[in-house]
Amino acid sequence: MSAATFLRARAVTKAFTVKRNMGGLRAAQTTVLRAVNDVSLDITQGEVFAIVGESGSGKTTLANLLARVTVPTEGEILLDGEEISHSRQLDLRALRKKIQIVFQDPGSSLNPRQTVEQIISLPLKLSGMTSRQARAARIGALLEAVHLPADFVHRYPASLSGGQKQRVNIARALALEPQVLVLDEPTSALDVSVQARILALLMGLKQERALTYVIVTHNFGVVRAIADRVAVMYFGKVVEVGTVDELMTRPMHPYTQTLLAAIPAVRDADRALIPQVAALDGELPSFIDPPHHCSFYSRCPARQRQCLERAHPDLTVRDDRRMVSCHLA
Amino acid sequence: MVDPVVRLTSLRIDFNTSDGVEQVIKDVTLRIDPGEIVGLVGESGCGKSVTAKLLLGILPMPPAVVKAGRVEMFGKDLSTLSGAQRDELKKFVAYVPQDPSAVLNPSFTVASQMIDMIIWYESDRRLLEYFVKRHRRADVARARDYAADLLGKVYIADPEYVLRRYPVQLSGGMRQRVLLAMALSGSPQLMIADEPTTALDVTVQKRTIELLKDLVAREQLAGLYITHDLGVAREICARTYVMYAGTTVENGPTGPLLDEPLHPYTRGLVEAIPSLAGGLPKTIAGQVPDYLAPPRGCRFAPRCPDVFDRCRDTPQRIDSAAHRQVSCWLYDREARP
Repeated sequence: MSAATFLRARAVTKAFTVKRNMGGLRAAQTTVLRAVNDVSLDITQGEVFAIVGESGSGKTTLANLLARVTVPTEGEILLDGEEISHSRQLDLRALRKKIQIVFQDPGSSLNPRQTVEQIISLPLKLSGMTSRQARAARIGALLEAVHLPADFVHRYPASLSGGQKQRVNIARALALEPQVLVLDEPTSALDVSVQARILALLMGLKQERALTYVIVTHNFGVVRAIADRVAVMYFGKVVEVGTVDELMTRPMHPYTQTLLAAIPAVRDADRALIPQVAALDGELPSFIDPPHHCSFYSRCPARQRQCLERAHPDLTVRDDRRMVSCHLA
Repeated sequence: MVDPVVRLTSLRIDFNTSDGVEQVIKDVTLRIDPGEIVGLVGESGCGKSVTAKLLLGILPMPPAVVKAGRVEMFGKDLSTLSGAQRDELKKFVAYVPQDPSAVLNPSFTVASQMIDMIIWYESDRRLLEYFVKRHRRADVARARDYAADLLGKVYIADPEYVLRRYPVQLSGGMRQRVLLAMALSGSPQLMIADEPTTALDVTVQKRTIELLKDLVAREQLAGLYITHDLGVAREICARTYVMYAGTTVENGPTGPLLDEPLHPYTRGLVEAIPSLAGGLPKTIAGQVPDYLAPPRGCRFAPRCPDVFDRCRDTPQRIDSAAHRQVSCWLYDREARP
């Protein structure tokens, strides 16, 4: 869109082939499942970009694509103008110095048989930092950056709390000083008081290191606390994009509205900010046999006849930096 | 006045472990009246699940030892009952677990699992009777009809369809409904739900909460709802107990409790939730105490922003406002700094 676009997804699709047992003696059928379907996004340098949606919406697959953990079936991903989605193994080492990912479950993403030192030194070794002293110095600095005591280097993940594990994950992701950090549900496994601290840590690190964040979450409180812009995903597609302010105060897509309405808010002040819409009924359409009309039709509270007759709506620009994919909005 | 369904008074539970004695539950006092859903909220490791397991009669003893306090259920003091009498009480308690996919057996259909449970209840847990009935066509057919009725009670539109499915063929929300239906099979009077919506999406969560509320009202149950999500507690619980490090530190009607928390821990917890109006949430300093050597006196004192010298002693529960109680020296008129 603008010159400042840093990380860009261009018409990205990730398809998986699945074998379906047809029962009896009939031959198994292979079908194509599009977990992410024709998604385009522009992420600006230095912003915190959030991706929200329910499970099965494709948000984690999209995060994996953006971080080049997986390769798109169609379309391409550009980082700083360079195509990264199909880069070969050799270029990947260079790419890892630019973009890193923090996975969802802080426990299972750390090797239980390695100490914190071993965990953080691996990316350093792979990037060619051969001097043990240089590595030790870097690890010390990283632990300090994530507010962990220096003697944690000898600890094993099992002796760390959930919040501490997530700090180690963040330290490892920052080891190669990337410019972009993709965070997949970084706080959803944590208690609220620990979550508050990790969010504060992330925002501090962002300031110090001029980072760009792509954060996948289902928690609008987290979005509101740290994100600048947000994309809402449903059934493999982005249905609405906008600034957090705009999107949360004036949601345009019916799905965004129901998603906001479902937030279990704690304080009275927050409850007043939630749109009063009925809870969502029904389930996601079948990925195996996707509908030709709008994929939200089956659950949409505002659906009309025309939605059934027309193809899935494109994501169109409505006003400055706001895009919606709905025939009615 | 009606007897409360559950009354815990100054409960203390220790765990004997190889590292020493862990003083997990220090002082839990809690009451559930008929027809109300009571929330028990707190962070991981605060003792919520230990409390639930005690009420369900599945807390392993040893290692757990009830050191002090009274446990009363349905008006009976559990310490005066024999093992058999306690088992008898278990019939009136239903349990809704946290993760529906971990509880349902993936290799059997919903029908098979529900019929198993219904017949097991009917045969009063006598194995031989169970086997005979489980193989008698008439009994199985009757149990299947009852299973369909139960699924109807949780608003499953097409019970026959669901009965024929394997758990993996159902969505998370649907599986949780199946478990709710199963929980109802013994005609319980008390339902204990341990984070039943944590594994669900927000939109499905909202539906499930509405269903739970409706069920409790319709079946005239009492409920204990355990959660770490204060927003969910607010949606479903009339009253809520806040638990920190094995102590119920504050309780009261959920709305006022969350809007004007009294205990410094409750305040910290509420302020740690990101506001929908924006801005970074506040944090609580320090760590949850080590149960092997917990702090003396108030267990929140080392992390408390308002700590003063009186906090070296354990605070009493004080009636602070209408229907509200708080265990904190700040609200003791004589102790105030």
